Amino acid sequence: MNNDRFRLNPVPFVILLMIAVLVISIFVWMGQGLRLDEAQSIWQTSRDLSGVVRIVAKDVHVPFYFVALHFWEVLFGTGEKAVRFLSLIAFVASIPAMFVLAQRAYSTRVAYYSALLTAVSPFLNWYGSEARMYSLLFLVTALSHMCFISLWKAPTRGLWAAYAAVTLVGAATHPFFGFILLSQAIFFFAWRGLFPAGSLRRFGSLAAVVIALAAYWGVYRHLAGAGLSNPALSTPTSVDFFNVFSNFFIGFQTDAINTFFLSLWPVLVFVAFTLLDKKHQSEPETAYFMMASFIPIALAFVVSVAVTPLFLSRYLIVALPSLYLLSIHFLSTYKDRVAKATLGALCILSLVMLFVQAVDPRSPVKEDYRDAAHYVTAHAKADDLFIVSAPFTTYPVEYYYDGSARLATFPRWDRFDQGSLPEAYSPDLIERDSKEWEGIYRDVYMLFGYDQGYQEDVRLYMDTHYQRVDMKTFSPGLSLYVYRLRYL
Amino acid sequence: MPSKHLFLQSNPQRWLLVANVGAAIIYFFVIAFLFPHGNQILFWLLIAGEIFHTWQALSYIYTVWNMKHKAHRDAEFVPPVDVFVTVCGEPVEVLEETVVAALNMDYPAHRIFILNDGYVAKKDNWQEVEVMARRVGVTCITRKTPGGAKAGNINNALRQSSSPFVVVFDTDHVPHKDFLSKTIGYFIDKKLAFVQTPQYYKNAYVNAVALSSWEQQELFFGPICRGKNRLNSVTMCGTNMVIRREALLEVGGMAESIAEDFVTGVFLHQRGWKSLYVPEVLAEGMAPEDFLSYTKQQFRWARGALDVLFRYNLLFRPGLSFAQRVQYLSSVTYFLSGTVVLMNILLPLLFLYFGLVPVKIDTMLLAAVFVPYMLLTVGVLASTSNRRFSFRALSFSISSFWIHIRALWSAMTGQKVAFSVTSKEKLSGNFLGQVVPHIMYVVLVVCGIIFAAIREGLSASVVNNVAWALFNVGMIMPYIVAAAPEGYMRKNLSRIYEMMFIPDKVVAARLRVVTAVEGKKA
Repeated sequence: MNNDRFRLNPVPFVILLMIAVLVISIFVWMGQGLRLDEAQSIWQTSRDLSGVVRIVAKDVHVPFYFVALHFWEVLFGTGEKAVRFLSLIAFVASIPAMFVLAQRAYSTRVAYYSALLTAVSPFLNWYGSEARMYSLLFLVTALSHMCFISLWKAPTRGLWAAYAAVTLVGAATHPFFGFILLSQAIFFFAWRGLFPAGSLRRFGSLAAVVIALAAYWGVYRHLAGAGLSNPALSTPTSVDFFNVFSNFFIGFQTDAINTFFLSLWPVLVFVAFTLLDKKHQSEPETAYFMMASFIPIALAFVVSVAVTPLFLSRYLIVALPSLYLLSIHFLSTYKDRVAKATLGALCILSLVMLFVQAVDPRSPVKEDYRDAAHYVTAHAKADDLFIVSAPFTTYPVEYYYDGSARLATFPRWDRFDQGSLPEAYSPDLIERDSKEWEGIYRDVYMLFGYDQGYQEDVRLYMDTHYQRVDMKTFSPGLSLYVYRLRYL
Repeated sequence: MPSKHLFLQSNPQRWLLVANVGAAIIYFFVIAFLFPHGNQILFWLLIAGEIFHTWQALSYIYTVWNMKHKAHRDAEFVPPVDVFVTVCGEPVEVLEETVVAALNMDYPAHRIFILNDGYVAKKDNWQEVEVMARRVGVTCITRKTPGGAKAGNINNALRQSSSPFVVVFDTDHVPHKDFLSKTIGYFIDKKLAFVQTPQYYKNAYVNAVALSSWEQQELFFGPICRGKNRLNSVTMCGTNMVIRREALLEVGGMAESIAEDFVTGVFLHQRGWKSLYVPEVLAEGMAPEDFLSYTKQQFRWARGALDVLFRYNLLFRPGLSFAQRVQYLSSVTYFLSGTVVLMNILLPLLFLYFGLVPVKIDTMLLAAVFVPYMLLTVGVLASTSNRRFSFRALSFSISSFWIHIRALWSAMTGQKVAFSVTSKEKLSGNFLGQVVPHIMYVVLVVCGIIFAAIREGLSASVVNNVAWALFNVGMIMPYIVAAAPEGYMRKNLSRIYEMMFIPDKVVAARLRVVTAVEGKKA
């Protein structure tokens, strides 16, 4: 790999990418309606600071992003674009961060392609305009890698301080950042000779602080009644395992596209074999990035299968900076023209998939609660009832719904009286509730999203007991059914 | 010139070896027990193949688990040594370089013998060898009674020489000055029968064939031989070796077999003699530079090893230790891999044409166990060979399946095979005849993809099998390219090949050669 061949000035290149990402995000992604998680973020952060921390403690997350979003909302409000812009800033900042990280770890060529791949990544573009912590987590992870590898290359006191700060922010942004810290700890003990004297003491001190804060947060969560609002996740399968990688590289596509790409996995094994070459010497950076890529994914999978399901590609975004770097590094070690062709193909593939993800309405992660709520606002009358199920999908509906029909959930969930625990589902609940609705309302608008395992039972019950007068699907997995409860 | 030490310096990471064993076992059990069977014949063939793969993986890991071995060497121990340089029609100038280098070895008591088999092999230059021997002042033993090929030649020389130690060099293996001083001292151990040193190819960077050949050698003479060292199971390789005459005579001299060196090593171990591998390049030879020479050499090795497998009952042969049995079996059974490779590459074709599968598989579950297994295997190969084993070498190893199948057939049917030495001169021409099965495979894949796509569209099964078929095509393509004739096709295919797989050094070396040739023409 010859760095001198790259005579492009990196500053305008990176700035151009940042501007392109900003424009695409503002005009494509931010125009979409808020998704469930985003609406939940707004709901959680639209209160005083202690309230924000308390409500986050009941969820599965840690508070840094929510506190930041709280202050952001104070300044810029809770509009769709406003709340998403915080994530967009983190995403845009990730582009130069990846450039610098790749340049420090490998070379200028890897840096250019890393920045480009980051900018065109369908996965990062998706979370870059979502009012959640994932793009911030990506940025913090990239910065953590940057500090960590610099600690063995050119350690300074300032660098240690930066590493400590990034570590604390990362640990307070998402629990999965712990996998990165674990990878760093394993790497440190395996390659201890790389690090300057006194590193063990410093890492140990920082670890003690992180563990103490995590323990404090754990106790606080326990006292606050943590975990009551957790969505039910299913135990991951091997398909879910590989979907993480397909999400990372081709984003969120329809089953047909996803299956096509996943079925090509033997080609990846072939690529791995072609990388057997004398040129590939064992760089510590590569060993480190391999750990940072695969330890989080493998451990999350094992924990999900053995303990409790928590295997979601967005949580595993912590593995993505290193995975992108490794992919580009390995491809860049081919002979020059082949390297250019394969790296170009990777970036073009990402770009095409980004386009498909943007325009294909069947994209599995699209959640059009906005259109659903607007539809009900326009059609439901004061003597109708608007039911959302699962209960926690009420967050985005509440954000947009402005109709005269009463809004409720099935199963029932009064967040203010009963804490964050919805009524536990049982098959007789729908019979009980529908009998009650019959006496009061004319039509019931039932919006089904985020199936928690009982959606089909409920729909079948309603179909067999009432006349269905309308049905409309707004996005994959989000459908509205209208039933006539009684005739006047 | 390739590195003379990097391939001898690997330090495998044990966790990687353990993980690879775990992955291999898990993969086998998943394939064998987790899925419903498809076609029964294919299923059992697949299982047989997987048992073979698992055996190869486990025995390799057992071999390279520990490569450290120390033996005592007494530099003061300088007994008389007879140095045998075997020749059977190779160019005299190549032989002379070796003989002169042997004469110049730093050692106080060695005699050089040229073991000339040119007469019995009806080679044109056998008399030139005698003239050269007289000119440089060494003894030439020209055999007049045929029999036993190279082993017969050496045994004949044993009867006409007397030193307690014998060194054997092939014609092209030029010894370093310190060959004897770095090997003889180990024979202070009276139970040591032979010392083997690496078979280094100084011409490795001449072209892709030589380079692939060398890279396969790097794996064998690097981690494998170093691992065998600790298990007292060093393979006798027929050149660059020192043998104790007493031990050799005890087993009746060199075994007159197509794999004379290998079998002699077995006999010596069987009698309780010890062996030693000195992991240092002490002689430099020549790799085959053309495709035909390469395939002939591979066939000879495969035929010899399979001959040993079928004739010498390594599993129950008395006198061998457990480790020696495992090592010898591992070495010879490697050459059965041709049938397994053929079966593996035919599986996607059977699906594309007939929809046949050995197991009704959840492809992503298969990927979940196969991908880590393969990545770990790549990691183990890279780690244990100190990153000397390349895709190119792997490609040539896998693509040699047809040679191995021919050798297997030849061994099973007991066909007589004449001993032939590897050509020391580059042959040019069209060697595509050697890769007809490979070309047919590519054609069948292309047609199969079209056929399957018409039959059931781009279903997940079709895409996955197409990916496997392309995997196989990618694996054999460098081999086909290497066999392509000189001229337009070779030039262009080679350019693509070099662009992808050959290090800059090769291209640079080739450019130097071209420049030199053009300079001469001018």
